Amino acid sequence: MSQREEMSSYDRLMAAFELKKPDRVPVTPFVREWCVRQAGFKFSEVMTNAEKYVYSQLYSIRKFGYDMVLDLLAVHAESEAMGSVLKIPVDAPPSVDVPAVNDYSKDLPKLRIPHPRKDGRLPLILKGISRMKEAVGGLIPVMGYVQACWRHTCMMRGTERALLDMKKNPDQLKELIDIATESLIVYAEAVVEAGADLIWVSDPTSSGDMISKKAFEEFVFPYLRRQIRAIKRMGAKVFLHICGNVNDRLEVMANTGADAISVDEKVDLARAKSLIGNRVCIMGNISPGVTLLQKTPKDVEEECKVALEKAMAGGGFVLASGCIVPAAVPPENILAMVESVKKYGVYQ
Amino acid sequence: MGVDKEEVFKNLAKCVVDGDEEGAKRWAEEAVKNNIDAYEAIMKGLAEGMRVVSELYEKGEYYVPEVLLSASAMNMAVEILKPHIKVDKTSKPITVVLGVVEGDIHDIGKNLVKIMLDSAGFKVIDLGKDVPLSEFVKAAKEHGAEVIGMSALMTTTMPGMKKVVDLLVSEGYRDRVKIMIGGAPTTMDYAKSIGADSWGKDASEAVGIVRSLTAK
Repeated sequence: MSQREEMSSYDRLMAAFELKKPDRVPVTPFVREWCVRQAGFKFSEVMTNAEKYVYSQLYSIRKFGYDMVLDLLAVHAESEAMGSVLKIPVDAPPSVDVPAVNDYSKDLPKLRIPHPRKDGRLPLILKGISRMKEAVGGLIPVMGYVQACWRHTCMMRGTERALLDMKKNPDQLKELIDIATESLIVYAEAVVEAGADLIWVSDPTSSGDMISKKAFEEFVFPYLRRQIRAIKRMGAKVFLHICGNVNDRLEVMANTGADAISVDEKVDLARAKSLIGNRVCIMGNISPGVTLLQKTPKDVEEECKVALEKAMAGGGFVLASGCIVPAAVPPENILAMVESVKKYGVYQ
Repeated sequence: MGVDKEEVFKNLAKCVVDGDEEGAKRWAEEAVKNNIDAYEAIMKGLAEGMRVVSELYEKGEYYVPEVLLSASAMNMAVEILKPHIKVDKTSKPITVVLGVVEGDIHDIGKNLVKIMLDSAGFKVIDLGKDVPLSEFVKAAKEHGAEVIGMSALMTTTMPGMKKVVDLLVSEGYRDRVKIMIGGAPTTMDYAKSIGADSWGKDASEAVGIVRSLTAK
């Protein structure tokens, strides 16, 4: 750190999201269970204790100095609040065990939009967001997580059945996606009100490894755009993340109105930048499973350097991990990622 | 009767490719009615259809929903044909133990691999998802499997695959079985680094990999 940093993390990330050049490229490894482990907790503990989760986030960001704190993300809380039953392992993130919607004709009429301050785990997550906002508000951006409507649908229906419904029950599936979208807009409003500066909308089931571009345009895009536009009207920034090969649908993703598009290592950052970098911020794409987990700090630095070379020019870039960072990633690799932007990501 | 069995096979294959469940059932019944060998109808009709599906999937023309629909059509026809298979197969088919590692419930890719292997005539012991790591070893021993196939879709659960390899080594069973892995965050490099024998980009490669791993 030869140079004094001029901007706060908050201003830096907001500048990048507005396609401007900050003092340096913001760096946001997606750290959830990784922080939980750094702080010495088990994942199941933070599923019921907002204070412990918040502590793990604040502890890690102070120690490692990246640019964003994250709420208790991607634990299917929205789907749980609508009736899906979770399985919660001792020290790993939960999964949906029993989906809420089995028989469309019986279960669809039973679905209710959850009350964010009352139902399921939602109040606990909102409490965490408020606590982080109190602690770092205005200096470090607070990220709130809201599932994408299609993912929420899959977590209520079961992914495989939802995918087959695209062929066999398209009308009922669309009704479910519609309900999912509506419920997420209600939840997002509470997340923003609790203090989130930006919202992560994540949609792994929309990747080109799962569904065609045509299916994405028919079943996902109209609802996703509605969801994202609604969140933006609440005054929050939005970044849309779809893992996997999304090379054929980058433009469609940008058309949702998201401020930033986050991609993993199956997308070439230079290509993404040239295709949609003039209208959305690009986030990506350090490999969490291979580089961060298994390689050395030197390798991490090298991959970060290449990513920065490809996408930082002109601003509008955030160096992020391609997906959630595993708990077992060595701390020195996260440190190497953070140091790389100070070394190679400074704007003149 | 005047039904040409090649015609039946062709139609079975086409119904699988098109994901036409009603058609697949109809042609399976036609096969039974005309005393066409049920095993042959499965292998030359349905399996051939799945081979084409696998190709289309690999080329990026088919995606997961299309493959699932084709598999559903295939399964419906298999249900009709199965009771008519003449059980005189004395040769033991190659057995593959398949599962998604502990902590991971993303089983669509694994299910696609199962569909492909089933349709190619391998015996698949499907352990399902979120499989305790020692179960892979136990099942391989119990069924005398030639191949263990593991998948993980999350970067957080991938390390479980290495633990299974290590477990096999420590139990002195590593030489008795081949290991293939797959799943979105995995790579050939990763497969090599954990001591697996092979890696598949997606389900379309599964049949070829099992064949090459078990080639004598």
